[in-house]
Amino acid sequence: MTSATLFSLCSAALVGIGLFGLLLHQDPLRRIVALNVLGAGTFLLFGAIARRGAVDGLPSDPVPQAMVITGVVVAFAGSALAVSIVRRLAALDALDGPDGPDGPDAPSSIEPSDDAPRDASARGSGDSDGEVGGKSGAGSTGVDDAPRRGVNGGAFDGRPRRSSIEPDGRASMEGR
Amino acid sequence: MSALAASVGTPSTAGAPLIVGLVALPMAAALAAVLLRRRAASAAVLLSAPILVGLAFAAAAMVLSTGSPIECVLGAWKPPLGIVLRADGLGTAMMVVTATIASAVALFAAATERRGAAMRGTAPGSSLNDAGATPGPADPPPGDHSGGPAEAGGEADGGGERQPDAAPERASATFWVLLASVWGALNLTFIANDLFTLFVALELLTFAAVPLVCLAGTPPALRAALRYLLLAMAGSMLYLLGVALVYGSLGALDLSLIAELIAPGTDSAPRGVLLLALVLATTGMLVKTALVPLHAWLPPAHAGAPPQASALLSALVVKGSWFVILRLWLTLGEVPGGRTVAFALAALGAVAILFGSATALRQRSLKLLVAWSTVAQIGYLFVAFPALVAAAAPTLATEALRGGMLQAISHAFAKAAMFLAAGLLVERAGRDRIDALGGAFRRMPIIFAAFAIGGLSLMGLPPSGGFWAKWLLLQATIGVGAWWLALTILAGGVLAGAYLLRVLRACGAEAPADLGADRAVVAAPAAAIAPDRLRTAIVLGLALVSMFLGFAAMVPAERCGVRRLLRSEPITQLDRPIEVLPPPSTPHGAAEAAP
Repeated sequence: MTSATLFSLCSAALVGIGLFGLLLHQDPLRRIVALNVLGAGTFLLFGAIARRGAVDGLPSDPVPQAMVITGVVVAFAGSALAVSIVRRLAALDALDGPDGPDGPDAPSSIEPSDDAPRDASARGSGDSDGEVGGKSGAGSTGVDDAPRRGVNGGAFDGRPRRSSIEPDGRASMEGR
Repeated sequence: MSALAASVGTPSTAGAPLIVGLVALPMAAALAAVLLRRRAASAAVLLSAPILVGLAFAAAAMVLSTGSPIECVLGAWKPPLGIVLRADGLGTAMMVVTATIASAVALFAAATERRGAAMRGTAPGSSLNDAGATPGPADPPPGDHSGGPAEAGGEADGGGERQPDAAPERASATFWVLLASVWGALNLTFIANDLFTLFVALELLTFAAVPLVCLAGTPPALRAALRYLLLAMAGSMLYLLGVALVYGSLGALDLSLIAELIAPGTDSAPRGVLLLALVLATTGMLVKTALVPLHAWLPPAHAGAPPQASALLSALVVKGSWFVILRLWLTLGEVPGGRTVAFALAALGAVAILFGSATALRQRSLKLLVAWSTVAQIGYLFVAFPALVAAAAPTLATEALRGGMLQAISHAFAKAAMFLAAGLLVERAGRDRIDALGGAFRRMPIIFAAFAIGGLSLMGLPPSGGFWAKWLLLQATIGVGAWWLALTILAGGVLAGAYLLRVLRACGAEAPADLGADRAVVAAPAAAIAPDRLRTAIVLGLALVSMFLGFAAMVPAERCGVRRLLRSEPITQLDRPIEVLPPPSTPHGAAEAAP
């Protein structure tokens, strides 16, 4: 068995483990790790192909190796983005209480300039969390959301909701 | 035009700056938007938009007139080692569509921003808004949406006074960065000519699309974004695995090179591995395209975003990964066993049409209904595949390709119009419920009409682009003997009619008497009720394009070189006279099939 074959088999195993983990786990962190295992398997296959493609003089084919570098960067960036979203979600859940899998209730606000932080960068639960709390209420319908919205929204950003945007303004109207 | 006489196989490099600009300019605009503050960020994107529209149309015109694709050999390194960008007819057509829709969305976002700023600028609580507070961009005449970015770019600078407000400022700047990134990534996807550049382009697209889903900042939106990101990354890895297998067996990444290496008669290629690679890469891209068993991430992600982001995601982003699948299959589709896989893809597409439409029918939220309709319409994109790989029948393949492209393009316009219209309807109704839409017909008849027109295209009523797409797809599926696919296409049209009728009936109903919509309308500040002519015109314009694509879309069959896809016509040219289904008279295609 050549080393290239051995590495290929290892890579197949890693891909299998990664897919298995990704499909079976619900926990986001485990899925991110599984994703990286899947990525490791893929990159190892590139390594094996590079070794197999060794021609006279060269220890290995440089093209797959160049691709692996890009692939690693992409996988790293994806993992970082995923982790930052997980952190953001955890911060929001800590603020709001677990929202539960309340599903795809689309926010009624359509105003991107006023919904709170949309860059996926993980920031501490700082400046605009209050607004996010308010928004999460605005997504669902029905009057029973109004009190919660009022509490969370008013508590954090220290300016009247009416001055913000239309949906929030209306929310406070409904609350009256 | 001497185009027909020009040999199809000799690519020209004269237009190389055009296609480089089409990728570099949006990326530069994205970088500028990162560095600049909010208003400058939107100005950077809005100013580059008309240039990009011009570049896209110029590239399309060049491909059309020279009859050969535009190539750009990066750094003068030829393919086995280097990278070639190649804009053929399919790619330029998609770039024109992207440019048109993205600039319409940019204008819409700018108008939304100005309204938001105007409303923040007025004294809180005052329900009387003087004319000065109503947004200025209502001035441009309705009707033209693609030519407008320039003046809007200027207007965006002259907006009313704004109160310093850090969070919206950052959010808005983020949207402009993402819009430009999506634009650049899509353009790169459409002109990439090797498997690895396609991978890079798709990753750029994913990393721009995921934050678009996050834009609302709510926990449901973040959950949807996380699910989308994890699945999309898994899809990328599967695609990369396929790329590794192709490279391992052929030693080539360039699509043209691969096509030569596996051409009939060369028996060196290991076909089994190639089939596996094709299946892996296609599966990976299917995750991103959200074909049915892998669709679960799409409705929450698309429905939870702000309307301009939803429009980008639903109209354009899913088409990027679909386009990669198309490229893969046009190159590798004829490996033994490929036909079976193509039929499996079409079967999944059929399930998507029925399941997506049926689920859309049951939605209570308007934006979710539109998102599920995207799931259904994506199914149509795959119905074409069995005919596409029918090597023995090049005319069928041409028809399937044309139907698929037309479906992608008309759905892009229709869905962009519908998501933007849905955004305006929901904004006005105050909440995203179909039964809260009562009175919308009376209050905003033009938006209502735009939504309906977009819907007619989805249903496939003539003369919409959707009608011709479905007609071509019907012919293609019957041509390969798949009558069940043809029936599904018809049933999908009926179901689309049913779920659209639900929305239209809700809009036509009287405003409900219970609290909710009525009170919301009464309570909404006057600025929200003020006429919103720019946004209305944009939505109506997009809907009309999707409707009248049918008059423009008939690509002469002989000019659509399927085999190696060197050219086809930019399908969005609106001034072309209608040509009713040109007869399949293309011995030309057959000649091309045997290189």
